[in-house]
Amino acid sequence: MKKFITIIFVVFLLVGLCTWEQITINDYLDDIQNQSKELIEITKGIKNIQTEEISNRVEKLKSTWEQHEEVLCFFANHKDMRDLCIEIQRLRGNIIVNQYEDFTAGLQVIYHLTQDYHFIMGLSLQNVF
Amino acid sequence: MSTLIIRSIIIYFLVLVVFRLMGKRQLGQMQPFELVLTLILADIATIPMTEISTPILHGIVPLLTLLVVHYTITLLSRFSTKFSDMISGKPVIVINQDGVDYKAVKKLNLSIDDITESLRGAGYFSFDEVLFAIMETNGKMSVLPRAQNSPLVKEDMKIKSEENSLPVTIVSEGKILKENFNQVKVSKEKIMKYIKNLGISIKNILIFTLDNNGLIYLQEKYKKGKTINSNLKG
Repeated sequence: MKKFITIIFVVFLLVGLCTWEQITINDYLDDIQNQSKELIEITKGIKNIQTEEISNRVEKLKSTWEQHEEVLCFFANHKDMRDLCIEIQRLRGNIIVNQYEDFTAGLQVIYHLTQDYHFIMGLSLQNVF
Repeated sequence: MSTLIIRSIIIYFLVLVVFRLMGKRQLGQMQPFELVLTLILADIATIPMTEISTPILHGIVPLLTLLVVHYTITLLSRFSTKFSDMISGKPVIVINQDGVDYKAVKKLNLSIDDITESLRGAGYFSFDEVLFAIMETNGKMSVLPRAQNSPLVKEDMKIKSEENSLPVTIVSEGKILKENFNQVKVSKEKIMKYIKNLGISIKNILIFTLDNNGLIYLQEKYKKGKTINSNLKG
């Protein structure tokens, strides 16, 4: 009976972890992905990225990342998270030197890295097989 | 580096818990699916232990999942013979009164050499000696010898003997095993008084066992062991 209770507890633990991952972590990454997507849209067609709006949005993206980084590391590969972190940190530097190409390239990398997580860890038939 | 140490400790204890929950079967007693599970578990455990970039959860979750799956299979096997047969297979009679059942041997993907080897392992060197041989699901062979090759037992000789009793360890390496006192039918005080009367200090005793027939095995540290027929009968 003790063993049975332990197994039931393990089942609940696994279900809880999966639910937490699929809901919370996806939300965090979606948030980062959406912010980067918005930035991609805003910067389309403009060459000067040294505007207050872009700066504010990059700051917001950075703070969102910093808020959720620790939790994300529980579930996602640390190397992928580090890559994402580096790209987010680079954005600020690109604004200072007005490097439009590097800035947009960085945003694309952030967008795709967050999307990658869904591709790899999301619950789908393709991922199972 | 300290992360590696902490991760190793966590995984070690987790694997320990998983194996404890899986049961106490030894390697040779494992069903095929249990052996496969053990190998997979060992492999899963090493990845998060050494790959620092992999979250430890990527090791913990598969370990726990396999534990749940294993428990479910074991539970289902207990309730359904059909399911058990499907997972573990059935014992197969490979030698019967007519000799080796070659059809069964081929079905098991075995050779006659394998059968001979298993027979030798069971203590029989000639097919003549065997009436039935069964290949168990864990790969071991159980043998029923012919009557003339069966080992002689006391009953055959009409010899009456006292029923065997399990020797219980009372003192081991100078330490009294209190939890074992309830396994013997003699009171703790009586046993301790007996040891005291022997004039031996507890800390000098290497091993002291007692069965319900009053048979004691006593060995002091760095001395020869002796068997004593005592009055400590249950």
